[in-house]
Amino acid sequence: MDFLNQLIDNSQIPAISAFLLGLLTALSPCPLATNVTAVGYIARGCMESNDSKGNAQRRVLWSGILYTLGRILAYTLLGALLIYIIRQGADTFGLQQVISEWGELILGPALILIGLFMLFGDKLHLPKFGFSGNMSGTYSGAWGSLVLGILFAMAFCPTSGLLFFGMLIPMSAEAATGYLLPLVFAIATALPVLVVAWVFAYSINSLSTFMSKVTLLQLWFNRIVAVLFIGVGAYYCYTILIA
Amino acid sequence: MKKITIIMMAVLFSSATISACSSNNAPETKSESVAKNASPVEIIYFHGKQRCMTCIAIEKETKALVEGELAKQVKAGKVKFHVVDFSTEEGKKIAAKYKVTFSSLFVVTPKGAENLTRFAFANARTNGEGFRKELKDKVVKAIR
Repeated sequence: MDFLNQLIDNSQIPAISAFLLGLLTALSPCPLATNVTAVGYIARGCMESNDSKGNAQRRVLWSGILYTLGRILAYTLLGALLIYIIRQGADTFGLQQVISEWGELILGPALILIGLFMLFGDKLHLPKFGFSGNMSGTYSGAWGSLVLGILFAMAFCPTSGLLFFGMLIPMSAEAATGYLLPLVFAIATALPVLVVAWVFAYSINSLSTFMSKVTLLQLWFNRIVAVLFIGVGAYYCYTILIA
Repeated sequence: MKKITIIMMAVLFSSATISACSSNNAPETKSESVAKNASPVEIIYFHGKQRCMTCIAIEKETKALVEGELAKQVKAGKVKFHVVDFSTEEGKKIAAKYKVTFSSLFVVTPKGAENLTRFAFANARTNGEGFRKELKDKVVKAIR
């Protein structure tokens, strides 16, 4: 982390600084809980009970790409709005205040709801918004990754808030290629999550094939990820409502 | 007549005493007002409901500095430390003044407010000693 901070201080190229700021955001302990849930969500696509191994691999790949796309959408649109406001000479304080308050409020209940969908969605026959517990088909659960990417990007924790609002946006407002910098930042915030999720997914996949207990492992992996969502959601609700 | 003379003398004496007393007090009152007018250096730490490990470390290290190496200056009224929760109505007003929406650290001197948030995030958790030293230097310089 110190090494990344030093690199950022010495970097003269805005795109590299934006990339390093994104990495620093993803690696800081502050968004650890959301990153772990994202890894779980993306990696759970690796199970291949009813379909081929290639299908499962494509599912994990697509899930990761859509998660990154979600983060890109959120940071790029928000960043463009903020950069435009700053360049007009106006103040972004009001917008930041709304995002910091709503991000905190929405995250906890949303995670609990997603966890419940993953556990009981198939039994209730409700619209699943991409968060199905059933993982057959190439794109199953992948659209949920897009929603998750947007949600986790907008739920700023203190460290990511400082790095995005306090460092990336002021730098982008001054740089000629400013509107592209939040995109670079977004890719960097997703990268560590993708690498861990893909390594994790392929390890589990090999393990389940080796143990020849795919269906059982799939069932339990899905349940563990769902419980993880509910647990992390409950933790966020606790910090907002009670602490 | 004798009565009037006694009353006049008493009035003269008491007024002389009052003026003597007030002239004796004058320098103290002045020095007191100077001390009151010299605004203390304020260290303000902002936080919301969600607090990360680094945010907690910033408060802990600043508190340790204020209660340890800067205790004398705090006692003399030259330094003040405030912890502001901007999720409360009262905290929101102070946060709006400094345009704060996430955990932040400010040192406010008569010359203006210095935002030390980035420095604090980079050092408080991993380099507590360095953080306290630099923050102390800034505060001591501002007092002079």
